[in-house]
Amino acid sequence: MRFSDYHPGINFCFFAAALAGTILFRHPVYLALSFCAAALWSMELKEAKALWFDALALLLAALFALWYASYHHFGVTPLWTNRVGNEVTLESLLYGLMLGGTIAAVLVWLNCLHTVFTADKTIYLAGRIAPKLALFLAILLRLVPRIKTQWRRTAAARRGIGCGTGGLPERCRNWVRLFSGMVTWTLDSIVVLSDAMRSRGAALKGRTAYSLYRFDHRDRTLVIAIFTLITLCMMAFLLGQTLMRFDPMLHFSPITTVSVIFYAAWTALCLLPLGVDLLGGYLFRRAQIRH
Amino acid sequence: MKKAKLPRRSWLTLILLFLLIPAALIFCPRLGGQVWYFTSLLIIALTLCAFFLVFEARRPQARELVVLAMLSALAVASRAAFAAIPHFKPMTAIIMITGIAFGPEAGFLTGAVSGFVSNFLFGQGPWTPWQMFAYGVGGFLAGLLSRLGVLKRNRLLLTLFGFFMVLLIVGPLLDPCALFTMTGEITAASARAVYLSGIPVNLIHGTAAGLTMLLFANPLLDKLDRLRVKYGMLEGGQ
Amino acid sequence: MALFEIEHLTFAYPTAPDAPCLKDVSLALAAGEYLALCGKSGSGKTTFLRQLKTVLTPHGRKSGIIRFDGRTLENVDAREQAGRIGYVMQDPDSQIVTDKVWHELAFGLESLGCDQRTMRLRVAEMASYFGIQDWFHRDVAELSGGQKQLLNLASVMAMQPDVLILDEPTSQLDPIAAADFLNTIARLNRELGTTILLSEHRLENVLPVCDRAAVMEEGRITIADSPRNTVAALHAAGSDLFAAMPAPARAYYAAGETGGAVPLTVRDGRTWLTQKTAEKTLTDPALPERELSESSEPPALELKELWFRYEKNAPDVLRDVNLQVPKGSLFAILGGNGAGKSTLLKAVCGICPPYRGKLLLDDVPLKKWKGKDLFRGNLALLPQDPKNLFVKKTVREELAEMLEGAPKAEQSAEIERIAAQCDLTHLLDSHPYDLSGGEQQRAALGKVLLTRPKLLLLDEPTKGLDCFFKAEFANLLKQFTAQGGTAVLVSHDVEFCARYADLVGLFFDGRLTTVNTPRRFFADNSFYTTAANRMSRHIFRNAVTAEDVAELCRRNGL
Repeated sequence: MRFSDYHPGINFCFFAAALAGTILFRHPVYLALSFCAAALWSMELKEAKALWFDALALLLAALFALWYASYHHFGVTPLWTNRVGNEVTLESLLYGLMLGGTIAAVLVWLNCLHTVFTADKTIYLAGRIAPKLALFLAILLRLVPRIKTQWRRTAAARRGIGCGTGGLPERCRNWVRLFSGMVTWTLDSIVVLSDAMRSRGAALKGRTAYSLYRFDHRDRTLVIAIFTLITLCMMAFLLGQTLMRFDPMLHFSPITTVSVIFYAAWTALCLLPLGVDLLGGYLFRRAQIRH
Repeated sequence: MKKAKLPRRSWLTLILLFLLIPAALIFCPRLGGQVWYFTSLLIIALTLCAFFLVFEARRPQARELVVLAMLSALAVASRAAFAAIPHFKPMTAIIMITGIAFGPEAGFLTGAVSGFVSNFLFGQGPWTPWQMFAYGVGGFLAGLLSRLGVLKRNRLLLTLFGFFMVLLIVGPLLDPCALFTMTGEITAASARAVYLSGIPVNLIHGTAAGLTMLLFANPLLDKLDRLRVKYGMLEGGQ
Repeated sequence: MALFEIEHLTFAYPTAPDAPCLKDVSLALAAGEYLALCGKSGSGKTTFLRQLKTVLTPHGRKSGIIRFDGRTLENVDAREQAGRIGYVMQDPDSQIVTDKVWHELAFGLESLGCDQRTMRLRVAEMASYFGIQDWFHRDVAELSGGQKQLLNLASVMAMQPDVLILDEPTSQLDPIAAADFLNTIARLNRELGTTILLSEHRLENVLPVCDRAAVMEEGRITIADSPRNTVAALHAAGSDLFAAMPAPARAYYAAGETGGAVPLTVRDGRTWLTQKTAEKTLTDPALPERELSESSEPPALELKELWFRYEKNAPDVLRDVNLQVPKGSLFAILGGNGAGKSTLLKAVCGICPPYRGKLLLDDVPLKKWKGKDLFRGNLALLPQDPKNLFVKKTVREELAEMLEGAPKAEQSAEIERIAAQCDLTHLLDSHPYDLSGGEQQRAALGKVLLTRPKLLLLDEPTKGLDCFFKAEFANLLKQFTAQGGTAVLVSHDVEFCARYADLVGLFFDGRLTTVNTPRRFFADNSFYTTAANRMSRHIFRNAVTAEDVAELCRRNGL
């Protein structure tokens, strides 16, 4: 039981909510929570490889803040004067850091999305709304690797008779011919493909889409959880709890019981997939021990 | 092209294009904060949906579907093949050729889908919708101009068209992706900075498109013609 | 009751309206029947099979009636045809629509607009019946050719068709995958009662299990009878199609038998031969061997302890390959799928450079040859799919591509010469993709021969060819070796190698194990050998072809 095993619709809703929140909320606490949750999850998904990516994203955010502060000069707290004589202010530096942090958090979330949201799921979701578009995507995903293989085969075949071993002009000429040959081959083979499709009724009206996934009880539980949390976060957004003023001076909204509830809701939302993954791992181990 | 009676999906498309998009334009800025990126994303998503619905409503035939998928795959593969040279994307030219051969709607679809699928290889990101839109527009305009008879199958003309199309339209459409993601707000200065820094990138991209047009446009169109003749495929494609 | 009734069907393509491709074809296919359709390539089999499903019917002028389940085919609507008439084509790769195995299985059902419950059930059934469950979630691109064709079959069967039409479904498969596939077809017919109409050139696997065999010659169905009677009729008529019949049947008639039950399988052939030789003493159980001549000339190609792997940490594909190919010989390398045979050829021509070992071409190390020189007048590789060599619009331009830089007059003289040699003269102005499989193979050979190679490497040259084209192709190769050229071919085709090669080697586990003359080589093997040898090995010592069996029968006065 991992988050990626849940219904693709849930995966999609979660990522949409997390990304929208990360982009729309201009508040350091929300941003920090979002980034930390995304970074933790990415490390759980991809292990050490993600650590580098996350660190790089943070570095990017810091650099962006410096760049931003040296061009924008609002705020009332000067820190230092840069070489062209402009003042770098605390406010613009922090605001830049937040913009950079937003980009970093989005990138880390997308890194997770890339692992979890496979092409299969995209096709499934597209198939719910537009089955023909989904079919188009599926055909395309099948053709891309075929074209690559065919390119390699044609190149090898031509090398086997000594084409493309000479100087640069000769190589370019060979390259153009290779491309031409490959395209002819592909066009020829897709004639067969279209016959095979029509033979299996592709042109009939009322196409449906097969689903690898089914919506079951655990999906329902998770949907309820996600939507409760999303509602809470939306309330925070509408009440202006997710904004912070930087111009002309820093204005941090006071921490109250209500705001703590909203922080908790956003944290819970962001940590949800990680929690599901960890819980799944725990349940599995427990079942193993009992056995 | 025009039909007397509009099917339900076309209505949906019209609603999307003429009601939801202006609505998004009016209401999103009122949400407060800097939501430009969010707004533009929403508009692009709505436009893409509209085009996909048009495609779905047209009941495309298996053969057309397959040829478009193949050209799209070719576009993706060509982007992958030149991944080593930054910004050198022959993909745009192949999308434009598709538009020329199969009309503006097919051009838009191929462009949008190629942009999407190629990012399965290069990584999806906030730039994906922008790319889908920009490539789609490239294919759409090429198809439109060719259908209006402005764009002929002349090698030089096609080359120049490919080059300037990228430099003036597709490239500038791709640039704001940096503008909106990098900075939260748009000012005249930041816009100018982004567009100026985009020029060299667009020059490389445009050269790639022009070169591809020069070398491959006519052979590719010839091959599509051969398919038309030999298999009676794509009849009435144009 | 007949499921398909075809009456007086005549069909002509628009390009040749006066030369109909199908002439007055009448045939009835009973429900539950297994009918095999044989005939040379180009005899109209594919055109005929495509008439049986409206969406696949090519443009052209047609007369006659096709009835499906009592109604004319035009009156059976597209939905019913899509579901009830299953059609599997030749190329396993091109027919697969989607990128995932599960999606492909569901594709037909999606088209029919089935609901989720039905689809789940049918897909699960098919995956279990065909043993697909282990690769159900895989990418199609990772499958082998045999698996792909099985997937095509399963995804057609998911729609539960009444009749299954298969157009040479195994021509692109290796012999083991092909036999598996044909067994599955027989099983479908036996266990589910699915009606089968199959065109095929691997008749040794089909004739023993089918109910009827029909023969198509030049657009006519000349014979449609039980397999035994068909073989007998073909022999009686002296048809050249008889050469495509299973080896036991050919041996039977070549040994002078008439009448009786023709053996179609190795088992029956053995029984026949045992009975024939019973209570007789054999004076001469072996044919004379051709001795391996020790030539003083250096070999055309010599490999010494060659090692190769594709990636740094990947396992070795070639390990310690040693090989000597004498000048002027036709050297065949046999071996299973993925044994590394093709890699060996690529290593020889520098596409896959070995990391250890020596490669001598005409006693000169391969590395000494510089770029172009190696491929001009020395070495050339004919790829598995001849289409991969074609990049131009006509065969003439294809051939001219190899002669770039030469004066025009010389070019056209050379083209004429090679065209005459490879029988391409009438095809010079055709598009290479419009040629048939055999013609493409000849055109590719012509193109390769224009580099005037001393050593010709061939990768699976007989794949997808029928036995007539094979014979023709073998003749071209023999001409080439007779003129002093050397040919090395890798193949799955045991029968072809037994018949035409001078030397045969077995490639296994990255190295070449035994090398011998075909007769000695196959006489030593008991599984990996020809049908004629398996049939006669308990009596004769070294018969490898049907002709050998007949010859030995004659020598022993049987």
